[in-house]
Amino acid sequence: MRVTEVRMVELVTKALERARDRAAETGNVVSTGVRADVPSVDPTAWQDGMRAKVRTALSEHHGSTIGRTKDALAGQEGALETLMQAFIRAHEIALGAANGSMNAQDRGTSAREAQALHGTALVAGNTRGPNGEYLFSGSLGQSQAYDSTGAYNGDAQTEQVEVGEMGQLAPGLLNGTALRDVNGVNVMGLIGQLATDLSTNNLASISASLSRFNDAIDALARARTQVGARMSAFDSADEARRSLQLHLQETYSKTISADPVAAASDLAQAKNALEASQAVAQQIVTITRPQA
Amino acid sequence: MAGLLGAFELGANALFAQNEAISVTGRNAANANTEGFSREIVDLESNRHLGITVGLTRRSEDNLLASREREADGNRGRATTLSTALAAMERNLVGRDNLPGNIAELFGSFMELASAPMDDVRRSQVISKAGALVSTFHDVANSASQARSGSDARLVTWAAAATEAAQEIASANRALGTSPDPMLMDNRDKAARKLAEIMGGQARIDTDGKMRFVLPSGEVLVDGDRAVTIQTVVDASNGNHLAVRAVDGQHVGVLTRSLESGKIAGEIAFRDGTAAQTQQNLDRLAYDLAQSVNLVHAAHAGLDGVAGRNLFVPLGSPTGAAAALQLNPTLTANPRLIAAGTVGLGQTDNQGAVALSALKDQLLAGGNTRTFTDEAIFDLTTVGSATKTAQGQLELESARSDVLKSTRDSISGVSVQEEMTHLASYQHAAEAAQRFIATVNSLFDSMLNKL
Repeated sequence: MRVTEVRMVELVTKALERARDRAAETGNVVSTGVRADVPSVDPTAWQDGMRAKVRTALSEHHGSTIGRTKDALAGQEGALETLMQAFIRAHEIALGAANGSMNAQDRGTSAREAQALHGTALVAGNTRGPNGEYLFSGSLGQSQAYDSTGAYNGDAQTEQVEVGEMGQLAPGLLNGTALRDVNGVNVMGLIGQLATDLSTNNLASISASLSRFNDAIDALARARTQVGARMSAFDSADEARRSLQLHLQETYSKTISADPVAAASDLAQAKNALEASQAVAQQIVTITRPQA
Repeated sequence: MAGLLGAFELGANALFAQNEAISVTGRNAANANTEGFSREIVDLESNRHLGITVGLTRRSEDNLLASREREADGNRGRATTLSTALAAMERNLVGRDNLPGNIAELFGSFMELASAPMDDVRRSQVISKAGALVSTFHDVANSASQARSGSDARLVTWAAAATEAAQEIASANRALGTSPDPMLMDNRDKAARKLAEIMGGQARIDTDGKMRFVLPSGEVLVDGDRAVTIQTVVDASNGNHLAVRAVDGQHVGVLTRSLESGKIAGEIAFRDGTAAQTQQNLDRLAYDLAQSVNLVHAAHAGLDGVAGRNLFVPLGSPTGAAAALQLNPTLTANPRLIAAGTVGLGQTDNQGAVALSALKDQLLAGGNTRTFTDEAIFDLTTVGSATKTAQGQLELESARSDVLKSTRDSISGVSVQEEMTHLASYQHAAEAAQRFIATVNSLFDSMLNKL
């Protein structure tokens, strides 16, 4: 085929443009670390990468939710520990007071300690979260869980929180209904009642409360076990979430991010091609220049 | 034999012929870089009595190749505008904002609100994320809308350029009727290629030597000395976008739907195809999302225990929904009214927030076939796929054009070195003719001196 000088220069110019564009593209990939910045580069990869990115973002929110709920559960666990200590001490006081060797004055002294323990128990039962909500109130978080007599003001609502993909829910905080004995009686008034019995020297009632204290301590132990189980469920969910997040990040890297080694190699190739094109262009210009 | 006087004539003819050849060579060399120029060939014919005569100066051309070039120009024109417009819209849709990410962030904020329904910070976060999503919808709607109006603006330019090219062909036809100038033919071919690049279609040379330019739909753009005017008019039936028509006196031919190739066809394919579909998809997504969120939101209660409020201002229809999407100003002013709870339960109930968050996993978009984030990703990927296809088509058409250009160059292109060789050859022939004339003259002198 007959090829004119003009066509030769045009062809070499085009080749030079292509080589320069390729070098610029690969340089951009190396400097940004992003291979598929728009879907048209690789629609399937971009789609997979974006899905991974969206799932990673939601996973971050799951992480925050889990962390926040675990903090609140830790608050409940601390409160239950305090309650447990108060009830064990109150049980000891009741045991001592039920003994016939203690006189009315001694019981009066114990009554003051029991009253203090009752106050401690109420404070623990009315533990609040970071936003001022009462942790044991169920859905009525704006109301105190227990009044001064230990009566429960909350409800039986247990809120579920999302901990994983596809709306995986887990029960969050325990409500005050967990602090009931086997007969369904709220245990929070027990220490207050003991204080009254001690101050009125009601030996029969004190003796009768001993079994109720045992039931209350059992109820508190059960509640602590439930909180522990929920914490553990959140830990497992968090573990699974982290593992998923790693997988998603890997997917994102494979699809959207550039492989540094491959990108550097591409850049070197593009640079070589550009240099070769420049050399050829120079030769062509020399060849096609009309000789005088 | 013509004798010595006849020899003079032979020499003069030879000199004239070589001068004509040198003149053609010079014109070829001068136009070596002129786009669309076809090199000229001078026919020198041997003549028993005159020695040599100069025949026609003809263009080195191939009509079939020219026809294929025009076809390729039309296809490349369409691929170029489509690819450029799609790539620009894709960059605007994907580059500026992250629609799928912002949808996910809204649902993530519902999820976090469920873990702390009384937390004012979480409530403000919901408003902030919803606001960011609204703003993103506005941006993408604006991008799609601007992409379509950008096409309209370019259509006006292309229509004017097509009219100019058609008129150039008609005036070249007129001029060629009186003088078959090769330069005029070159200009007419160039104008025909330009017209084909913009409008598609094909040109043919009729028996009277005039070019006739016809579109595949049968619409005649140039017929001899007559050329149509390509106009753009507002089309109320197509969202007030521009329609393209060919006007020739009283005759008006609507071309908007019938163009198959050329830049205008590319613009229309973009504007009424992918860009319109994308705009529609984004509107549908915004509408479905607002409707679904509002439905759940209205069924639940804010911290004041009252239900029935929408998070987004309700939309009348999907048309224009992405641009019209707005947050409920009552909620923006008081995030404590965000419905995270259940009517009748307390303030720390989170069932509303859980239900709102659960919407992200439900197939409520794309005609109940995809989740909201998947639909956003799908819509953007659709634009990306169309861009990639158009870019591939452009590469293919460019390669075809390149091959044809090389073929044309091999037939009609000017090689400067070749012309220099011809020039040297004609110069030698002219010198020989001069010497021949000098010799004859010398003989003539000798003969006269002997008389």
